[in-house]
Amino acid sequence: MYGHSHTGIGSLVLTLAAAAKGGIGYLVRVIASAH
Amino acid sequence: MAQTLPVDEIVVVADSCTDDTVVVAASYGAVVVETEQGGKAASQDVGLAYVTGDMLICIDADTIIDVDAVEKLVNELEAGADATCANMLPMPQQRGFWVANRRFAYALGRYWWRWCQAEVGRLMVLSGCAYALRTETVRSIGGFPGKLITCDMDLTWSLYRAGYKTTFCHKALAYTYDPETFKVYTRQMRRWASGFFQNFQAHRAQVVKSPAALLVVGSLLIDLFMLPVTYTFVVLWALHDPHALRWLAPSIALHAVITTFIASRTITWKQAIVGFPCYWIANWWNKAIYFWTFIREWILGRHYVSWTGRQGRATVISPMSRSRKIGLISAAAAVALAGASWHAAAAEASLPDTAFLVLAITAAAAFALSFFYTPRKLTLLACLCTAGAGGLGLDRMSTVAGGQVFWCLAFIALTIGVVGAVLAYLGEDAQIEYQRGAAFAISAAPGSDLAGRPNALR
Repeated sequence: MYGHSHTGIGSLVLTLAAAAKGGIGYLVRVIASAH
Repeated sequence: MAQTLPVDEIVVVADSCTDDTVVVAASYGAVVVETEQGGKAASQDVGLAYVTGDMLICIDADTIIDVDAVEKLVNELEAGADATCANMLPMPQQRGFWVANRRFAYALGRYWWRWCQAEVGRLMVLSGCAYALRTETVRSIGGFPGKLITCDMDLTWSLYRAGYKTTFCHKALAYTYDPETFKVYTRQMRRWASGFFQNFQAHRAQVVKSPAALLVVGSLLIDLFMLPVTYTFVVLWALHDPHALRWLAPSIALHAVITTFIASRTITWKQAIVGFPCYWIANWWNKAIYFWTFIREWILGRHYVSWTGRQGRATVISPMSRSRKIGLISAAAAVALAGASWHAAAAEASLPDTAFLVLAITAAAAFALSFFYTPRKLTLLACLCTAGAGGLGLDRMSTVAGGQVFWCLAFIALTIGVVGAVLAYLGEDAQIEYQRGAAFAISAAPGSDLAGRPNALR
């Protein structure tokens, strides 16, 4: 959202989702690079 | 100009330009196009015809990019992105409360919410001041969309609709002039907030189809609407038990520590520490603007259609359609009926009393919903005051012995007030003047002289 800080339960959910996706992506990259 | 990766060509679109931009740009060898479009997207479309390269980096006239920004943006496109954008910051020399707030917010977004949005695959907006995309990509969607009041967000979601992928190039930095005064800041926030709600009215199918989009947009709306609920709860709780407020200070302190640390990764610690209180206070104003804009754009159906800001042009808001007005009155009547039923059950009032109360509450509710931006405010106010006084009189006089004369007067006042208010409410609004970005104005005023100019938007 433009100029509007993203603070609250919604941002917490988004952060957790992004962290989960980022974490899974990181693991996939690590596993892929190992081969 | 002095980039680590030199550009092949520079196209400058000087739209409605009154300074020496044309001469200065031409002296540096740029292709200069002069237009009188009066809008960004339309001007970009004109400039697009002159572009020969396969990658396009769009920079606003009030924006300066880092020396390696082009290289980083191009690397992002070559890595597979269809479009990407830089992270922006206010110009380093800018000072003041509103700039400190914006500097903190941009720095926080760089490693927090914008990063999160990009990570889940739905960056909310490609920052209009500095973004990059493939020339073929923008041509394939018919050029730069310009129907909404914020064309960069419209472009971003038009790209999603066409199946393109965006990324956030947080390493590339762009510096832009941000509002320095309350007046200009508020104008800009009103436009941005209006653009947000217009965008998700226009692109709602995208939000429903994509879980990532639903997450990004939904989380923002939840944060917006939870604020009044949360703080009402806090206030009520504090009234009941003032000691409960002792939790408020630690929660704000925790918020300050986390966000200041994240912001300090981009700006200096001093800027971050100074910026937090500005950001925290300004956020209340931001959310108030967003909340009211939600009511105006989505409930009242009155759309912000003029481009304002530093240019100082007047705000233009489209009129409410008659069907919307009737719908609002019906909704208000339903609410009032429910309230009156409760009143009748609780006070054992007579049926006529209840019926008149329904009329009064209906008129008041319809009035409350449409008061702002209505050109016939005074007429409505007078009618509603009359109706309110009449309704109140009826509620009281029916129980007073010998009060029949007053009861009749109150009945007449109520009738005149309600009928007058409804007539004033449903009356035709004055025709708005056409300005750029007026897609909603056309839909709101069919048959007007606007309807014959559908392509003038681009």
